[in-house]
Order: sequence, then structure tokens, then C-alpha cells
Amino acid sequence: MLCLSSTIFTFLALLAFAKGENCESPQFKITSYSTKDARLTAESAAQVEITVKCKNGKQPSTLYADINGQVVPCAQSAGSPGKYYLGVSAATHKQLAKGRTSVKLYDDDTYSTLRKTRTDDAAKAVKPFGEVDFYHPGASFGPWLPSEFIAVIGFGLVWWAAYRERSKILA
Amino acid sequence: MSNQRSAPRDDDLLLQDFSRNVTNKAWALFFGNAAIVSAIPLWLFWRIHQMEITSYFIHFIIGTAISTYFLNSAYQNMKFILKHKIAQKREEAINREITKLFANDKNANKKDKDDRILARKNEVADFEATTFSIFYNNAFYLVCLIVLSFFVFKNFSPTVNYLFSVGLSTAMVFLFSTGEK
Repeated sequence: MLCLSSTIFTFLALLAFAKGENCESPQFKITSYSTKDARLTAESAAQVEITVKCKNGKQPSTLYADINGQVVPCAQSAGSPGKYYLGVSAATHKQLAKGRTSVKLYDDDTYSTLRKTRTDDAAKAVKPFGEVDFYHPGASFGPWLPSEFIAVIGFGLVWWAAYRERSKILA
Repeated sequence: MSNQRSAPRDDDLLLQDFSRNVTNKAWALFFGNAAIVSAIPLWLFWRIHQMEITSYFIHFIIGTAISTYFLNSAYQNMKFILKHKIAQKREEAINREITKLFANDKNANKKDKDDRILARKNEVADFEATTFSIFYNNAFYLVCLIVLSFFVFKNFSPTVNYLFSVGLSTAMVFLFSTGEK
């Protein structure tokens, strides 16, 4: 009897302890940088920094991100607890979608639940740890005409008007 | 007596009209404009062609000084050429203006009126020639500079680019400022 009650008590204590380890009510902050110049680059890449703040002060030991259907672990920095880094690269500029991209985040528990699913529907039904958006403004090839050409045309027109006026005066 | 008194005044006006000399005010205006326009390319070469000021300040000082001097001369040359032509074109309008002014003045004589017309013509032609000379030479200088710096000497080293762009632009502006066509 004593043995059974102590076993139950130990189990409940472990359960309470395990629940306390998890991050509660996480809040996310995103900072991102992505390739903006398409003229001097061949590929696009994006770097996303995710800052996680938990109500109980605990941080997930590992954060996983579902980006474009692939679940990858996020990097962490020893000097910056609570910050997780995600890198995305694309072979062409068009492959890195312009605009807002939704990224699902998973901690250890939700990730192990996700790993156990066998069908896509079941995977979609798994509630993620959180969801964030990062914004990619798109890579630009710059103006169609080089700026010095526009400057020459502009100043050239001004000079031409001045030249015509001078010719009228000297006529 | 009045003839003797007015003769030096006529001579002064005529000398002023036909002289290449500019007043101190006009000289200061020309010099200031030339200095500013000569300094404008420095920003271009510093920020676009990546010529650090600390490394190239000697080139910049020499280029700006030479450009200022020749631009100043170009302004004066063109002003002198334009002034007489402008005076001829504005003569009729100035005559009308002064005639209207003197219409109600019974005491005014013809000499005073002619003096007034001459002075007014000189003033108008001087101002218009000054401002137009500055405008035309600046426009020409900047067009030459942009074409030379960004198209002709694009592939040369920044030093060669700066010295030749500024030098040739200045030379062309000065050369064409003496032309009457």
C-alpha cells in the first residue's frame, strides 16, 4: 500500500515537474533580413531571428520551424538565450516567395507529436507551439534605365533649352 | 557748365557699357557660383566613385581651384558677349518704360531722358547677361561633366576620371564661352 502510494506520488510529482519545464503562453518577435538586390546576386537567402518570451520564464530547449513544408531545427546562440535563428536559401530569386511567409514553430513536445503522425491530415491537425510570419520584399533588378542616363537626359534638356535661348539672343 | 558736368557721366556709362570689367558685386556673384558649381562634383566622386576625401584632398583642391578660376572667366566672357545683344533687344521696351515715366514731367529735358534710358538699359542688360551667363555655363559644365565622368572615362581609375572629367569640362566651357554663335 505504502509502496503503491509512493509510486503514485512520485509519478504525479514528475508530471508536475515536467509541465513546469514547458514554455507557457509564448510570445514571439521576428526580425528578418532577405536578399534585396537581384542584379548582383544569383540566389536569394533570408535570415530570421525569432525571439521567444515565455510567461513562466522557461525557454524551449530546441525550436523547430516548418518552412515550405520542411521542418528544420533553429540555431541558437549561447550568449543570447531566447533567440533562435532560421536560415532559408533558394537557388533562384523566384523560389523565395515575395510577401508574407507563414512559419510554424514546434518545441520538443509538439515536434515529437508531429513526428509520430503518419498522414498529412494528421500532421496538419497537430497544434504547433507557435506561428510567425516573416516578410520578404522581393529581390529587385533596380531601375530599368541607369541613373546616370536619366541625369544626362535631364541636364541635357536643360542645356538644350539654354542653348536655344542663347541662340535667339545672339541672332 | 551742364555739358561739362554731364560729359564725364556719359563717358562713365559708355565705358561701363563697353568694358569687360565687372563690378565687385558681379565678380563676387560669379566667383561664389563658380566655387559652388566646381565643388558639386566632389560629392559625386566621393560617394559614387568611392574617392575618399582624406586620401584625395589634394586632387580635389587643385581641381576645384582650377575649375573655379576658368568657370569665373567663362561667366565674364559670356556676359560681355551677351550684354550688348540683350541691350539691343531690350532697347525698345526700356524706351517705352522711360517715356511713360517722363510723360508727366514737364521739367525733364531730352538729355536727362537719354541718360536715364542709357542707365536703365545698362542695368537691365547687365543683370540679364549675368544671370543667363551663369545659367548657361552651369548647365553646359554639368552636362559635360556627367558625360565624361560616367560614360567616357567610366573604366579609368578614379583619379584619372576626376582630373580629366573636371579638366576637360572646364576647358570646354571656357572655350565655348568666347564664341559668338
